[in-house]
Amino acid sequence: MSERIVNTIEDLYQMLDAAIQLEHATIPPYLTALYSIYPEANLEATATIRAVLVEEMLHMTLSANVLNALGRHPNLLSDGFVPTFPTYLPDGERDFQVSISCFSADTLETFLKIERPGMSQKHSQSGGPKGCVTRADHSKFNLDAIKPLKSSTYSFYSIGDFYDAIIEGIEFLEAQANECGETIFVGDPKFQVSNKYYYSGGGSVVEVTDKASAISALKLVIEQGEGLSKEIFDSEGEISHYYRFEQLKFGRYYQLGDEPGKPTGPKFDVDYDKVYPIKSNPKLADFPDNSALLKAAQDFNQNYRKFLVTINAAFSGQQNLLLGAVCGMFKLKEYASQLIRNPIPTNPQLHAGPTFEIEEGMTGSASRSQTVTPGYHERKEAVQ
Amino acid sequence: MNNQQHQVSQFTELSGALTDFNAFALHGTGQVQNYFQTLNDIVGKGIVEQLLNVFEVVYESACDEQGFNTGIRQQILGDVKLGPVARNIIKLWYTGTWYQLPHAWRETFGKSEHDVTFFVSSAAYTEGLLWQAIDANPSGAKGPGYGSWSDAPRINFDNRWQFVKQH
Amino acid sequence: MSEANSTIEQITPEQAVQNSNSGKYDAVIIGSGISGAIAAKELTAKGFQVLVLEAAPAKSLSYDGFKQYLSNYYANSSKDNNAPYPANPNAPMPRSTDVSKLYLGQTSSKGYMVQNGPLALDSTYTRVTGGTTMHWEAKILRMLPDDFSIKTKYGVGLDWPIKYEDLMPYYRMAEREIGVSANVEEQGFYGIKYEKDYVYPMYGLPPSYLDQVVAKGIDGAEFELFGETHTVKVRPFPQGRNGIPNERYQSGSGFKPVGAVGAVQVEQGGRCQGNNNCVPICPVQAKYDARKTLFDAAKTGKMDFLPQAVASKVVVSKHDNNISHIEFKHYTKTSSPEHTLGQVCARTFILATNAVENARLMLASGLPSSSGLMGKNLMDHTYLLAWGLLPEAAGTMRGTKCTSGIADFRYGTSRAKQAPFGVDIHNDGWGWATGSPFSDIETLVDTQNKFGKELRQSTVDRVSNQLLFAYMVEQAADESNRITVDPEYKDALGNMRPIVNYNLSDYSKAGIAYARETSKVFFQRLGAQDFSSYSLLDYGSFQYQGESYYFRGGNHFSGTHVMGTSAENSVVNEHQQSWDHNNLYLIGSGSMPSIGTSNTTLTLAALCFKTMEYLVAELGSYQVDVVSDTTFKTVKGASQ
Repeated sequence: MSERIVNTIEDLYQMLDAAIQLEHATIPPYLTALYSIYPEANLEATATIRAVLVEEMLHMTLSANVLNALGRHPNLLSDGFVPTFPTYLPDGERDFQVSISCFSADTLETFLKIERPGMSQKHSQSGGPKGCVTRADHSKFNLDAIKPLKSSTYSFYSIGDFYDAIIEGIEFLEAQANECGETIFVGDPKFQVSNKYYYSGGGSVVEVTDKASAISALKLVIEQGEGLSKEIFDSEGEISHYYRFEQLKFGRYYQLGDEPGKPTGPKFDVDYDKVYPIKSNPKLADFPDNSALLKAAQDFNQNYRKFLVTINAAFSGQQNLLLGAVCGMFKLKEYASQLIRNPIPTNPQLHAGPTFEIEEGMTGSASRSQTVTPGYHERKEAVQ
Repeated sequence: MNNQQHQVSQFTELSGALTDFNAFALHGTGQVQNYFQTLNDIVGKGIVEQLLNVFEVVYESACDEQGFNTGIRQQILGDVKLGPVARNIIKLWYTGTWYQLPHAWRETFGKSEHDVTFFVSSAAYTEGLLWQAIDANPSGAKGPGYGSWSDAPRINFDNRWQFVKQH
Repeated sequence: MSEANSTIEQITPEQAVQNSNSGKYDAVIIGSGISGAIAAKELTAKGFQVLVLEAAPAKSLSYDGFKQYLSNYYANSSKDNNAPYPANPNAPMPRSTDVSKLYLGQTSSKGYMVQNGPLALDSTYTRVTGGTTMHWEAKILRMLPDDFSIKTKYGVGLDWPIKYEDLMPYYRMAEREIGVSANVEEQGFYGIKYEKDYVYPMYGLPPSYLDQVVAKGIDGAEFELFGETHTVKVRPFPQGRNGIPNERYQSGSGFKPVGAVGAVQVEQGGRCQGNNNCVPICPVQAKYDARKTLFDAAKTGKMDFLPQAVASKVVVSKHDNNISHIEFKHYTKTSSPEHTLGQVCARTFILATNAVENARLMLASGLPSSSGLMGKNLMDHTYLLAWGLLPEAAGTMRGTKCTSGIADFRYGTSRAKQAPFGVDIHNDGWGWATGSPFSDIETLVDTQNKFGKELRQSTVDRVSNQLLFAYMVEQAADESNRITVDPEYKDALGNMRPIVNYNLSDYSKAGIAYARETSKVFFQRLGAQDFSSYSLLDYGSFQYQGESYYFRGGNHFSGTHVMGTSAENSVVNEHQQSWDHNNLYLIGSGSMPSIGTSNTTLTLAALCFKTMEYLVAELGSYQVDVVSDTTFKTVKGASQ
């Protein structure tokens, strides 16, 4: 039995808010692991994590475009948007937590879990909604993204399953709206982030104006993340995040025709010693009072917040700000690297790192997504 | 703290005083160990130890920053043996390059076969402090992003080295 | 290093020889720089089969190979424009670091390019896959319409057999291929025109902060020159690097920038990030290089690619004076001169090495052209540098190498008396003139005895305030400036090296002297301290009217197989087809009769597109001739 998860437009808003939060939540761990690697070392790992990181930013943008197409702006500044690490992921996966830590075998395992392929239909849990696993310990999960949805006992097994539920919801709600001669895609197209300002090696952004473009945006997220067909390479020869990370685990590249788990391409070394030993999930409290280190860590958080403010504005119509946001990102990378290369004076065996403690209230707004144009319901009511 | 760690920490302080970048900034380049090693390899442990000892004495005996600077000039930069080494440390930090020591120094204090002009590593080049000083990226690395060059540089001295009199 | 990159498949020399003997190839192309790559792409796109011989190894075609260039560059204590590219005695290249002052009557064979004087020329090119576009700056200007007829209009140099208007459609093709970022409304000046509604593929790159500081000081400055007033305005340059795609391009179909080549698992290469290192290597591959075009050609499946094969002789058939074949030397290691000899034939032969190497190869093959002009009329842009220190931090050392400049001395009646020039504002400060910023640190520490706080502040004042104007002065064709060969000078494979014979005319020198005068006005207006000095000991030193100057080469070699209207006044016709040998094309800047004040790449690329259009028609019509009657009927029948 498979139950539909998204049944109302509010559910859909909620899920997309969670999607944006989810994509963002992977950025601090990937970024930290990436810059924990010594310069010029572990080139393959560096390239892999970097590529994934860049695509996560694309995914966040794609989810924002879908939400904007529904007439709602994302709000990256809401309280708790940036999780407290370690954290569970906002799609409700319960069997692992994500940490800010250096690149290591354990970290790689976590990355594999983040990007793991979804459960196929036949594999689906008995009783639970599609793509979900049932778990009892939901109280521990402090991210609000999933709570209001009707089941209190399920979690998604994978990010892909989560997005599948969103796609299913869009199809259902749009069909429902179409019956009344309406559409759920009432957002102003001017809020769509376009390739004019979004530009990276991570692929093209999709401007969302209707069901077809929404689904192609979301499928791109799934495809880049875990692969659509559970094949290692997609039709364009691109390899999904999950298998990219598996290559690091095996120290060997996949090539066309390989079976999952059995790469036969060129081998390479992964050297976990050529990594700065970051204290896992560092906190400002770990750094000595009045130290340059503490100040730098605080500055990093301030700058990170500024970065979120800019992105938020870009997702709310000022997309030209993305150019500056990218520059801000490059600066953040430098600041993060500096932190990571500094031993903690009181515990020199371990190194510092960015803490991503974005202070409560720093961001000002309590609600998640914001209504910007009359949403589907408002308009519907107006017609009635 | 063992002797090696003490030396590295002294080396970091000396480097800070010479370059005007604080220990956080110096560690932030990831080059402290690298440069300390390079220095030892080329001029030898004895001279490094002497340099650090003189620095410690200058630091201890200075009452204020002016006195400290005078001490650095007279005891280190103005010293026939230590001066060229200290200037090389400055250039090393600012550019990532080890410059071959002057001929006269090599004749008197010993020639190392490693004492040639070279970039300590690819990373050393990209971590040169001169770029940080002028709020620019090292040519060919750390691109700051499309259009960033249109804004005025944000040159600041937040991470400068501070003379703190220990009591 | 991993090999998980895409690359272009290579064939063996044996395969190349065998294929060519069995008549596979419509064209053999020598060189994989921008000319060769465009030729390959255009011909293969039309279904023709080509063989490309490249003298250098092709490791850089993979992403990892490219990264190696970058590491070489970082670690190389010299940062000259060939610093990332490994020395290869089997296909050597000139390096500016090899150039030293020539004394009267002296010849220097220290570098690959033998300097026969009287002046030493420090221009270079890059013999790697992708050619000199690997190190080029990618500032990409169209020539002015006047530049095509300087002989008629001003009585200097040579005229082209074609006009600006003839090249216009091909300029567009070249701007598409290279992916040019510029705004039309900022580029249409001094006769440059565009088709109605034309936009460049991408929006112009934002000018640097330094440009803005300079513009504030010198915009509106007026200069009286031979009865004409030249008013200065700082303008942005078109750039051959990725910016923001213009959605209006091609009537609204937009433009998709081309990213890094050879990268499969590491999506890379996008918009310019301001690495300030266009020359010699753009780390993110935002800058165009010819490998991007070469990959397109490879994708057709109609290009055979043979690297490490140095063309050594062009052989003419006695019976029809056509080229019968080209000999090449194939080596397996750059560290050893061991090689095998081979020869390849095809219906047409395209020499696309570069202006120096094309002429060198022809002369070494004993083919000086019936006009006698092979290797002659060597031109380059002559650079005068003027550098000063601004009264404020201008953010120098950021952005692409050069975002803006001055075009207001490129035109006018003065061209009858003195060379015109364009001016570049260099975002990398005094680098070209003094080796900044490293030399500044050396000066501050070793000479000015700075340390600590004083040093840090002085570093800001000394580097961030730098301003350098590079004056790019036109050089007109002159037969005495030329490339020659001599069996006395050979490379490791026994190929004759190019000998450059070079001097500056009074026409050039007058332009340079005037350029220097304008720099003094600019520095005054900006309140900048003038640091320019031209040592008599410099290898580019010369005197003019009692003043000392030095010049730098512009790496824009051209004119060595000049195009013209007849076999008497030129080596090739307007299609870059040899007058002497019907099936031979010499393509590239060597065909240009004048170079105006524009960097040569855009124009040579446009010429290449024009030539390929002609050649496709030629090959096509020839093809119809050889189709047997029965095949011809079948085809005709099929279309009924």
